[in-house]
Amino acid sequence: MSIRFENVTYVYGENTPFEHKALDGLSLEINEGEITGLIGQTGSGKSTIAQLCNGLYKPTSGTVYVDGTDINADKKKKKENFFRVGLVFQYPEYQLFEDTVEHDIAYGPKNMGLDDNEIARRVSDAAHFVGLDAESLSKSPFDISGGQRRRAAIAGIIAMEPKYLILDEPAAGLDPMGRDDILTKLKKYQREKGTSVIIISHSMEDMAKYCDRIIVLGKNGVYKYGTKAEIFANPVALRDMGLSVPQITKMMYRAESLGVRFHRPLYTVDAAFEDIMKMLDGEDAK
Amino acid sequence: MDNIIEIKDLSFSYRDPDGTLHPALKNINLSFGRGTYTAVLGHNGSGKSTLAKLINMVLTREDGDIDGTITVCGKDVTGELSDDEAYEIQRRVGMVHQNPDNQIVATTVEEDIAFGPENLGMDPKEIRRIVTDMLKAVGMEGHEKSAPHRLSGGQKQRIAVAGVLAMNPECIIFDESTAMLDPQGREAILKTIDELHRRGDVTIITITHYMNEATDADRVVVLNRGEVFMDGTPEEIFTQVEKLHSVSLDVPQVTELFYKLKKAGKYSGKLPLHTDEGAEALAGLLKKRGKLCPSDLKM
Repeated sequence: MSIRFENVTYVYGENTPFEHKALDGLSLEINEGEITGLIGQTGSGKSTIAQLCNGLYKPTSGTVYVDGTDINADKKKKKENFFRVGLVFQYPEYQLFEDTVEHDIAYGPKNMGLDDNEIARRVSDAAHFVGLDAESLSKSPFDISGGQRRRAAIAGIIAMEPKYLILDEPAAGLDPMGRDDILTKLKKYQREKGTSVIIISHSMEDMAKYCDRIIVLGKNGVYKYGTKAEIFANPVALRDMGLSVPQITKMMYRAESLGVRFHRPLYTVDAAFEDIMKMLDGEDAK
Repeated sequence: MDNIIEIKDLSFSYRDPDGTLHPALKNINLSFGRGTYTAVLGHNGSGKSTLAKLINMVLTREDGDIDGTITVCGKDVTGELSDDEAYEIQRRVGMVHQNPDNQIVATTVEEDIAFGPENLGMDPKEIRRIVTDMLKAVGMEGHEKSAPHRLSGGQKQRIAVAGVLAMNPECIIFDESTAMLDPQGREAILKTIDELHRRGDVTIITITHYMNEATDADRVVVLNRGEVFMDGTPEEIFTQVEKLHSVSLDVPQVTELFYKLKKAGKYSGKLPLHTDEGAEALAGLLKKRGKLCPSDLKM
């Protein structure tokens, strides 16, 4: 099961002077049960893809399949898909509107027509996953910190228990610990629930640390879909697409030009530390 | 050194409509010398943006209680200023914000950059020259007639910088201006900042959550819970890894790697901040232990 785009074109403002083709015949498939990173230059269509996945946008041509179903085939399928694919927008905390955090998280499940017990269970589960305690649940969304608001907004989508969870820059604007915290929680959520998580981000460091697989969008559709090692193996191609590799990977390539030999590409600090310790201890000598 | 901004014993609390106060800054003493480049770091809610908004007069006594003084270009901006004086301060201290879409006002790039100078009633010929020069300064020459909404995020931010530069400011504050940009856009803005800094006549203050960006500054100020927590050169600040972690901050990946090696007893030199320094330190380390042998590259 997967999310699959078949020859999808999406045009903004069709037949207006502002007509703009965001996607042109895009085909891609995103595996289930992993954390997938979606990277690409500004304007490469990442956010458009996110909104096509949950049916907010309908392709101008082509088809979006979720678990084999054309999500735009009819109204019923569209509605079902809306709950199957949860979408967390950029800066979602600006969309909180209820009187308490708890009511805000409950908004989605309520719209699904669930009974009160089930809603309560889901709110409590979702709050637990993002690390919001009972005290903050009873507060107004305007009386908690920015980082907590972000977590509340994510919990609101998690509470719908979507099979696919898409997050557009979930860590943007957070301080380093806030970034790590939210991404670690998402990874834990993915591992425990088996939900497929898709993260859009501009941070190569975060992508390297938290994703299982990465999709690189170029100007002409998907440039590459692969493991981190496959993606970060070609820094020149990434650079040409306005992207980059993590700082630690840059350092590795630079060190190679000075004669250092690594056993594998490095894209996290932990992996680099582990390998360099081995090299220094001489366990690599063969 | 001549200071463009001097902050003395500054405390600020936001005031709710019902009068409740929320302290945001406590007893800040900082000065910024002309032509310097400072990065201000701090966790979410540490007061970074509040400080910037006070300097630029986006926040005033109407928004909260201010104690102490902020002297900008010789004037205390916390005091009573005439409208003309206030505009003059905002012209001299420009600001580039986080979201590129929130700061572009016109339908073509040249009109956008001309917007400020036109409001000052400058001569059209002079405005034309300024537009050309400023686009060149941010590496966007040839885009005069482009529609801003067609540009990438990094290009839009550079147009925003050009618009600020057109006012001939003495200081520019970048408030998380790279947060929404892709790596290339971020690099372009950092390059622009670097070039402005090299010109020497503009004071630069950047507020950022990206530690890599702060390593390029001359000075790093760390705020914590509304107070100045650290103040020094990037080398002095980023080598204090544990202290930064204690206030929700981080260090560049290269620094973190060598910090771990140091803790493991494998490295004793100074912690590198940049990619090249790190690569050289690593090569040096392996060479010392006889593990680097360019003639025997394949193992």
